[in-house]
Amino acid sequence: MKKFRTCFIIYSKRLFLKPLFVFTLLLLPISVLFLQNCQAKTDAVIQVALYAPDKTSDPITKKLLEEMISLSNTAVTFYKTPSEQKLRQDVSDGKAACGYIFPENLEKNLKVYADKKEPYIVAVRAEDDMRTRIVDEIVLSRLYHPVSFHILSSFIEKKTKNTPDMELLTESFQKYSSDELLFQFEYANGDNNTFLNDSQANYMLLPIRGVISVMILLSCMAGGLLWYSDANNALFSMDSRKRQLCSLFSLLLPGLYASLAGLFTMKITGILEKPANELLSMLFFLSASLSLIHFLHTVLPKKELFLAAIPVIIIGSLLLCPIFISLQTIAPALSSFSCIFPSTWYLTSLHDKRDLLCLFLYSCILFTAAFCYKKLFRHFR
Amino acid sequence: MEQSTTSKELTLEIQHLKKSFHHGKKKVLQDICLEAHKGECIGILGANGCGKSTLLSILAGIQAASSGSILLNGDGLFNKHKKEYISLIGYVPQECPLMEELNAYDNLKLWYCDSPLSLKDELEQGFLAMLGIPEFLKIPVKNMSGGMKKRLSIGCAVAGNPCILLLDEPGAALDLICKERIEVYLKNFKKQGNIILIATHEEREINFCDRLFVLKNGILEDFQYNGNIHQLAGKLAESERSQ
Amino acid sequence: MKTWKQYILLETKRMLKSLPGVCLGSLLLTACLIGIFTLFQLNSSRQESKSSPVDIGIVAKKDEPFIDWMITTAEKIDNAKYTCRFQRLEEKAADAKLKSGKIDMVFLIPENYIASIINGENKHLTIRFGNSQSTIVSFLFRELSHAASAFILDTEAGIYSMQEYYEKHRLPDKAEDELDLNLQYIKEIVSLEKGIQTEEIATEDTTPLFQQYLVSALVLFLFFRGLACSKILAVQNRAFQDKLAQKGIGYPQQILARGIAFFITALASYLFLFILAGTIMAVSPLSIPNTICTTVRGVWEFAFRCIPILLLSTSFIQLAYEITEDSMGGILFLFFSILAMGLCSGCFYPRSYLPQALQAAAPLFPVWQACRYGLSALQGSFHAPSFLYMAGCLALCFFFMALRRRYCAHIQTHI
Repeated sequence: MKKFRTCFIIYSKRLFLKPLFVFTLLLLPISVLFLQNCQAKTDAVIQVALYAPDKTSDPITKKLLEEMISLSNTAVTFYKTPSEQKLRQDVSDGKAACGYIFPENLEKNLKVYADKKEPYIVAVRAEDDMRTRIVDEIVLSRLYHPVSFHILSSFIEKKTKNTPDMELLTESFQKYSSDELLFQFEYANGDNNTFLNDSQANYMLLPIRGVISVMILLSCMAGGLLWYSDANNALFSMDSRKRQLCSLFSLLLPGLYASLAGLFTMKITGILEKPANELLSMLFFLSASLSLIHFLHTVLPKKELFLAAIPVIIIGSLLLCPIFISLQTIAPALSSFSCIFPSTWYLTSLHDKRDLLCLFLYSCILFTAAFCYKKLFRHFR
Repeated sequence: MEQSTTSKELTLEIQHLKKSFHHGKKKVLQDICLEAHKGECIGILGANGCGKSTLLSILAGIQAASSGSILLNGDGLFNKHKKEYISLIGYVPQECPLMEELNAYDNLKLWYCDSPLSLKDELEQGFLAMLGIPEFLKIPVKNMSGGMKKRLSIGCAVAGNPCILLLDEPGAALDLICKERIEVYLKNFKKQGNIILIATHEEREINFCDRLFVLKNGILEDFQYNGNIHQLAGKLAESERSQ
Repeated sequence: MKTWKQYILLETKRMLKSLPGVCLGSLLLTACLIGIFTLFQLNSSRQESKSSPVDIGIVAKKDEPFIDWMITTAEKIDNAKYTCRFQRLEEKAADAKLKSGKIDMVFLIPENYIASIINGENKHLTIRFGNSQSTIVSFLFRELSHAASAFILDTEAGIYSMQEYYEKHRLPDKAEDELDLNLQYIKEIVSLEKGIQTEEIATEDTTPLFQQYLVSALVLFLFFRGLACSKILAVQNRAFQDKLAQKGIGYPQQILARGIAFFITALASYLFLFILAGTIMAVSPLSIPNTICTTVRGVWEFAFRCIPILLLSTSFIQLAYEITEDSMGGILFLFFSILAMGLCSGCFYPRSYLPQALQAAAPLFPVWQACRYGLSALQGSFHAPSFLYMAGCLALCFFFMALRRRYCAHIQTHI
């Protein structure tokens, strides 16, 4: 126990005397907090420009525009432009994904639409893609409120062959109107998807968990480099009994401290969902990372080859694992390669106990493979 | 100024050399005065950390002294014509200044490329042959023994055909055969009328020196070694206590 | 001068000795990247429309009324044709398809859902995504759910208002008219887009997203390769540096020599990468349309044009290791800085997705300028501002390295 504790303290001290290691660990929560807070109210994935002539617009138009701007969130944000030209310029520049030009008298145009189905607003766009289609639906859903009222009033007028009591109709319509959300989001295992259920969630935090996992993997690899250096300097030759313990700490400690920094980052930014599950997933992931590095260290005798493996594993993790994009729908064949990287299992293990088991099996397989390799090929080295 | 390799005129003078660190708080060398003449080998002794390596690195032009002057043949060469002065110095630091991944030949090529001496000639019958370097010419430095590295370092240091050789613990961690080879080379070097300054702890090297000084309290004190190792140890202990 | 040239040659030789290991890593990485590129190309050629719709599985009880009608109605919505594809599935099959990625999400329809909408109970419909982290697509789909809720609730408001009006005025045929109004509303929802007149305008940014990502991948590849270079860029032992300085090769010259040697080494593996790319292009029908990379010669022209990017990446990598003087610290610092720069430069998400503050800062980053330069190289043109910026960055890198080395030397000899 004493030996364990002494080694732990010495190796930890060694790590913390490397200023850049400490600096990078501290940089992680600081930069994520910065990312979270640098987002202004008007920042969003999709920006939509709106224009209506200020002085001559009817009350419905003004109310509609105000409503749309107030309902802006981090996914879609609406803003007003001072002129049609500016709106077109913003769309052309790419500042806005699309723009909508409202007429002077929307109420009149809606009545005409109710009868003759003639367009009442103009959508300006540079590209016809999923984003603009989604925005169309959002805008239409806002416009549907007055449209549905006009349909109701026209319907009653036709059926009663009289002008309906607009005051009564308006009062009833307002009474029964609601902004409730009729959908809820969950993960495949039934866990509540807190991120999507929060309309003000910051999309910039989406890849953070994945980036933290890659950072932990890289820290473990950096620990592997220390292991190579120690072996070269014959550090372990002094006491072979300590060799296994020392080599374990070389690998484990950088990853362990990076994990702690990662968990702290997730906690302060609010993306830590269930602490117990998170800790368990992190622990299994750390074990999987260690097993991968240990396997590489066993199989690759030279430090140069190990170094060459680092960018392969890191870039492979960033591209193939579902950190920024999910390759499953774009290139399913490639996504099967992502199983090689422990980050893939980690990102799904939070909400799927089977993937947690897979992480555990991943560790066992790689540790066993390294052990067998050592036994089989020791004589040939 | 032309290189003063003529034996008759060679004199190295160190006058009131001082060196301190941490804004003057740590005074390593207080008032170093030394005169070395042609064909002399001067030994500098002292406890660990007393400033021997600092003194040699200042003489080699790697570090700057706080004050004082270094004269070569009466000229303030160090201060005025540093480049010319440096070209007369061969310096062998304690750590071997070699490129680990490359072999001995590559390392030698670096220092001999603009040397007045021919690398090929030196390897065949010159100083390098005397040091036994051709035996391990193609071995990468990282695979060499300590003795090989030290001999190679000396070989690199003498590439410029120096007339002053500064050696910082040349015999440390070397076997007797290596030490013998180096000694032979140094004897030859001395015979040619050149100057050697060695910082050392080794008795064999001490015996080789013509004059000895002990660095104590930042000052060089004359030391007469009578072959009694206990006397030497006592002097070094004294030097250590005064630090 | 002679010694300096010899030093450059020896440093190059030293670095090239480690090249096989780095090359092996580059080879594997290139294979991965080319694999991704190939699959993207094949995928995009199979697509009929510009954007790929999202596959949605609908899970409901077998005897759940109106579900098929609901799916058919939803499919009639013009925008839905572009964004969604529906298929009715059993729950287990849906979960399996969700896990394997064959569908993107599952709608779990509760029992008597339509009835609950009609009678105002408004049961919540659950949308189930996969177990991995949410993506931008799922994030945007959440907004569609708000839109769908608005359609349902405003329709309900209309129907209830009609019911109340009929009750107050004691009008006949309430039930029939209610059905009529319902059908009218549904018809209206399906054809709402008729109210929008679309105007398409030319955009200044005509570069396809695929080309942007390709150039970003190349730039990131060149920068991330530095993670493998800690050994070759590790600063030599102090005694050796001092000896070189004593010989007249000062610290800035030593840094420059190492920089030149590293660039030559990186160039060797860079050319190796393009030999591979050229070979693949020669033996397969792969090409990057609307760029110069439609032939092997075009690929080599692109490679030649991108050499300034290589130069920038090598100097940045060298800066990381010179400043940190520690392989572990250098690797972590390099990873972090490249990832941060890549994120802000639009290498992972399109730049327009980023907050305004980051978008404004992006042109300050060398990665962004390198991507900008690479995109113009892909079109066979030369973007002078980016080139000048990269040249400035290069000079800055060497300046900082020299400053750092001078600072270390000063500390060592400080009075």
